[in-house]
Amino acid sequence: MGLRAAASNPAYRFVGLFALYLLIFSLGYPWVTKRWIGAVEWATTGTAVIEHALLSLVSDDASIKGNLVELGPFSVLIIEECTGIFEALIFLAAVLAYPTGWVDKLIGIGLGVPILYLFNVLRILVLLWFGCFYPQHFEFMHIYFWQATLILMITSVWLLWIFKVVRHGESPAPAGT
Amino acid sequence: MASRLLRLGLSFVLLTAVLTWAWIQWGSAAYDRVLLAVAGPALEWIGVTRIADSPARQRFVSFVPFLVLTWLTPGLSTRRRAIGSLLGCALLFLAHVALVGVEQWSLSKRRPTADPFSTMFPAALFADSLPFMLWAAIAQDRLREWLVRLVGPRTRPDSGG
Repeated sequence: MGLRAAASNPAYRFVGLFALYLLIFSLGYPWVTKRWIGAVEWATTGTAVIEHALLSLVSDDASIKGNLVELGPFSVLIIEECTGIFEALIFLAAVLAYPTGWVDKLIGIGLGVPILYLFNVLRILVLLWFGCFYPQHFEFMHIYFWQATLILMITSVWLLWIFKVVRHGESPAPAGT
Repeated sequence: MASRLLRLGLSFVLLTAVLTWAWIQWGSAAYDRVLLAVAGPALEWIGVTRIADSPARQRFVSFVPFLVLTWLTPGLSTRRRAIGSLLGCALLFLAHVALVGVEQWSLSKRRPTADPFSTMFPAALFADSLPFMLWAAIAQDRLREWLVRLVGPRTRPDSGG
């Protein structure tokens, strides 16, 4: 396939734009967070407080010390990677690279990022639960719920947005397209 | 439709769990050996003599989401799945070697940024998204179908992105 043909393929154009947005985000993120370190601290502390509040609903053994959330003898330190920001950046790149209108994109970002954050909160709760009650399975759950399913979660939310928001609002395509 | 989606979702969960389990049991250790055997000279050249447990190594499991996406996306031919899996795994391998190299670079004094994180972060984000990009390329017929239905075959300019 020639370069021109590849460029006219919307799927390859999407991948190219996705990589471009990702490059911009990945170079810009360290620069931005260095200048506004308070935002990162706010996100990590906020996530720790939410995790503790949710755990407190189901257990008396939950406690919090700064960004350290404890459930019984097990604790997790909420760091930058636990805030779901990396997942959000990948999702943002996928939404922005998709060829649709800005309203759809704003809906995608407005719904998708909170959904990914909720997934992330749930993931940490599950990890705390396994760390406390089934520590022998913690390694599996940690790898499963972090690297193994990270991109699957992002892809699922992205496809959900395409099918429920973008395509839902489009008129049927003419035959032969 | 709903039951089909449910079946697909369950397949994703189960296959991911099985592959992750296999990865933890023997895949990870075996992959370390393969990486050192195949890319040893290149890694030694950049100062890596052993694969330490690090953010780069933790990302080696990216084979799992890539294979799950490639194998379970409906409508792909067996040939495309097979060739895509082989090529994708080869590219993931190269990306892992590069990631280990960038990690080593980020910890050295020759790094281009003031702190290791700023050097490592772009590589880590790309490594995290690579399974998605490879899948999008392999499943491009399906993706193109969804995209063409939306935007038409170059009949009007993109409205954004």
